[in-house]
Amino acid sequence: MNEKDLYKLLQEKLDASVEMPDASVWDGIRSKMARRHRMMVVRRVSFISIAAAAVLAAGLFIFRGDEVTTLPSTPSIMAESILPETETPADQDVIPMTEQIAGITSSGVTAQQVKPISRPTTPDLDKLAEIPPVISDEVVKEKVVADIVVSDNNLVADQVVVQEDKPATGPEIREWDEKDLDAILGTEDPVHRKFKKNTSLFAISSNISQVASKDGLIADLGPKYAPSELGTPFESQSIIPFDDEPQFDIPLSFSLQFKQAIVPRLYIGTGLVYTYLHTQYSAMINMEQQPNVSSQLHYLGIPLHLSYNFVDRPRFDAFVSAGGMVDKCIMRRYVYGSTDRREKVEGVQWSLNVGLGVEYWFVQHVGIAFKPSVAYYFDNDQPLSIRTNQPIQFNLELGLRFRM
Amino acid sequence: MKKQSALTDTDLNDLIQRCLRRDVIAQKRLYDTFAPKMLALCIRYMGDREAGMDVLQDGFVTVFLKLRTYKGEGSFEGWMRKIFVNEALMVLRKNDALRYADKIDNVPAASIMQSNDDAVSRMGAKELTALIESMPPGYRAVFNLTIDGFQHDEIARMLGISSASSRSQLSRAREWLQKRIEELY
Repeated sequence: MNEKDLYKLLQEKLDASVEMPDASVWDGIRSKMARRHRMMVVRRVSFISIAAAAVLAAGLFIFRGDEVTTLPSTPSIMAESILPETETPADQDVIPMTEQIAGITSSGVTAQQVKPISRPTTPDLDKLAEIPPVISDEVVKEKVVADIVVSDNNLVADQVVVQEDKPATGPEIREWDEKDLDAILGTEDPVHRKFKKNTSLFAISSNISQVASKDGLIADLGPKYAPSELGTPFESQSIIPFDDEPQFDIPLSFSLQFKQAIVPRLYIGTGLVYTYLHTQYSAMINMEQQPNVSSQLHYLGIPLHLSYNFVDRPRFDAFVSAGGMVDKCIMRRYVYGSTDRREKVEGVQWSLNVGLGVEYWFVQHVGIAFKPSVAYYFDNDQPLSIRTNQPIQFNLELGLRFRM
Repeated sequence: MKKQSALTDTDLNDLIQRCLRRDVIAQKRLYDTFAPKMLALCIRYMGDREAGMDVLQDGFVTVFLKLRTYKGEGSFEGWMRKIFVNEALMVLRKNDALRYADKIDNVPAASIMQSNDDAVSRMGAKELTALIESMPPGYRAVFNLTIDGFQHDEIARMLGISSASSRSQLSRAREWLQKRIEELY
């Protein structure tokens, strides 16, 4: 027999060899498949969310000019706004700049009707300083010009030329007060703006706890509640977790929240929060040991919190928030072996949380928010989960905000 | 676990299609059909039952996840075997169990094995498996891969060694096997 034949003989003999695996192997395969599937779903949702947020952010960034262009920012419009097309009596009531522009635009004045203006490509600040103030007592106007220099050089150049061409004897130049400037630069009082015009916020966010594993940062911090089966239907009391090291997946929350300003900078918020908690552990079920019990808990919560904007800019807010939440487990699902059980859980889960967050507004109505927070979950006889094992949880909330 | 009867090609294709749709019952049937053979393969590579079952578990997860890549070319069992062999080698590599002795006495293969042909023919699958399981891990991997029809170039690539090392390890394995057979028979 040559070498090849020998190996063939060995292969034939070994191919006939079979070994029966333990039942736990299939349980393990199912558990791993379920975990991979969940991770895949989370990855897909995260990817889609990030991609959508990126596209939205890019789109809003590109088109964000809409908010500012309610006031003139181009030379021709500026010229239109300042050159008087009709005689305005000096004693006439001052018309706000925005209204005047709207009036001019709607009356069909075009750039061709406006006296041509030679505009320097770069502003000469020294030259600007030499120009005597047209209305010497207009301190506010000088301040306005100086501010514009900093913010929009082309605008200054246009305004200077206009002043040279046509000394401002009417009320037009007087209209350049700080409110107009705020409107141009988007620095108008944000509290005033938000509180007066926009009092509500919707937030869509996801929440990923960073300490969701047994090796988490605060795994040993705070109390650990005994996993309770109280408040559950009688049948499920036969599931008794006994694992010293249950495996907790990252809890995921999705929320739709609403907050309402009650006084400037202070908001009260509430909404609806869905949370998914998954735990894998060993348990005694009907007096039999099950090494891989997959427990899936679906909670629906109603938060109530107060938040205070300690930084309140037109595009950027920073805030602290504190509040509480009541969660109701709407479904508990146990999977072990080939068994799939769904049950209701009685009772509710109470928690308190404090957080620190920031919001950035791309445009007046849409922004993103980032809020790390700490939550404490009380012992309310809830089934075993990361919340009963590590009642103090660090959360990270990322989301989109829509201002009404 | 019930022992499953052999599947026809049609049944197998149907089972694969259902597995692709994440049909748990079909996955279980596929598992029941192939797990006993694959476990024997895993044990042969790993050297013990517990480690073999771990590889079997990970291997089936990979099979279900990669099932879409099976294009129906070649036998399905052969495709599965490659996955399980690969899983076993990954674990052995991770456990640093594939280190080899550097020096090797080049013993002519034929002279070693021919004297034990009859003994090998007489041995049952269980005895042979037990014998291979007791081989040192380094030799065992090369010997198993050779039995499973891989060429030295492929073995070298799979184990991250040179072809010459693969040949020398196989020679060592044969030498070791000859001694053991002589002791037993």
